Amino acid sequence: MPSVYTGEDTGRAKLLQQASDWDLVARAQKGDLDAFTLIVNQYKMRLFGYILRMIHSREDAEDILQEVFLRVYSSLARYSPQYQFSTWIYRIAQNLCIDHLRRRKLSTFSVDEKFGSEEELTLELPDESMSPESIFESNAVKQEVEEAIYELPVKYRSVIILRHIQDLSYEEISQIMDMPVNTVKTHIFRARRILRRRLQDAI
Amino acid sequence: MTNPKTEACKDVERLFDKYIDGMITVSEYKAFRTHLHECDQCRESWMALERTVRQLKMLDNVKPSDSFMPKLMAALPASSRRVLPRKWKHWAVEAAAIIIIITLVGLGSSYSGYTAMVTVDPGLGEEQTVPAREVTVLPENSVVEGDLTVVNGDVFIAGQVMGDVISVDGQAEPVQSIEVKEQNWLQRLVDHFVNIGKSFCNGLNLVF
Repeated sequence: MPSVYTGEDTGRAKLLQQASDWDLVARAQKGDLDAFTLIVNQYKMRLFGYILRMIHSREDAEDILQEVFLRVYSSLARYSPQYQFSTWIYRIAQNLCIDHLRRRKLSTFSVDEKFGSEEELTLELPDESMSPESIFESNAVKQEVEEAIYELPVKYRSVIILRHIQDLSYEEISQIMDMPVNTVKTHIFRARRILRRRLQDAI
Repeated sequence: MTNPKTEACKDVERLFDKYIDGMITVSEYKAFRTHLHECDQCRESWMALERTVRQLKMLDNVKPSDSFMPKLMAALPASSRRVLPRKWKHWAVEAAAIIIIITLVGLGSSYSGYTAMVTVDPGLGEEQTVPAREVTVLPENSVVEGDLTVVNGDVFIAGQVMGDVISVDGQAEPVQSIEVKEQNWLQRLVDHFVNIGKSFCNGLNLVF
């Protein structure tokens, strides 16, 4: 039986990550720029992976990534360790992505247009620079998968990326998205099936 | 879909996600495995789901461009009052270092010329020759009434700054006194100084 086991990870690695995060954050809060730089280096690849897959534009993704860290930097004084740092930073990233997608959608339609549910955020005018070939330099199969993820409604897109690409737990995703765990699960189960159908037809 | 799904199929379908998330119990797993062995439809359905998740996990890591880090660091807000008590010992001392000194004309500074080397006595009994970086010296008798902003360089402050010392990508160091030694071959650097000095003074919020 093939294994895709992604168990709920409360393992040692995550605990160590949390402890190390908190140490760096504490130092950064005291003005230690080196600690802040280490935090940036720890998170920049993961966050970039998330942001890029949410918005499918490298240039904009770097802008958003920068904005995430600038916000972290300026909110350090307000951050409290009762919130896990990793979920805090992902939450900032998610909110910025959703803002970006809203603004992009508004700029391609008239201002009068009624703005509906978030599902509509996936209906965008096609744009050459946003094709998977130009964003992800990988093989055709992977590009198909990237495109399929991008076609998901925003909430499903976010949970799928957080769960299966960023490997976050349901608990963490629940905190990032401010949603009960069961709702997160339902979204993920549904998203998996949409992807399954989408990729079965294509590949 | 060829055959309508039986109750057993629906039950096992619910187990797919549990298996993927590692939450399946042993008895559930047995039922899951048994059913898939017998039911072609569910087996195909499961394999497609499993393949989908596997494809998600195989996607490439993506990374931001090399310019990301420097751009971010440059975009960090300049911290005010960044007069760091930096240890002199950490400075790398290089021989024949050339330091560009900007004289703040008009502030009653006691230095009128430019020099190449600065020996700075921080009052700790240790004379250090400052290494090759663009250095700004705020001489003893000078007062900056606004903020002193230094970009991409270091500033030694023997005078007074009434506002904030804002150091972007550099260090700001308070010193007790500064003694500047003159050299002869400096004339060819004068034009260079003048240009830097002009743009530097434009950048300062000097309030007289």
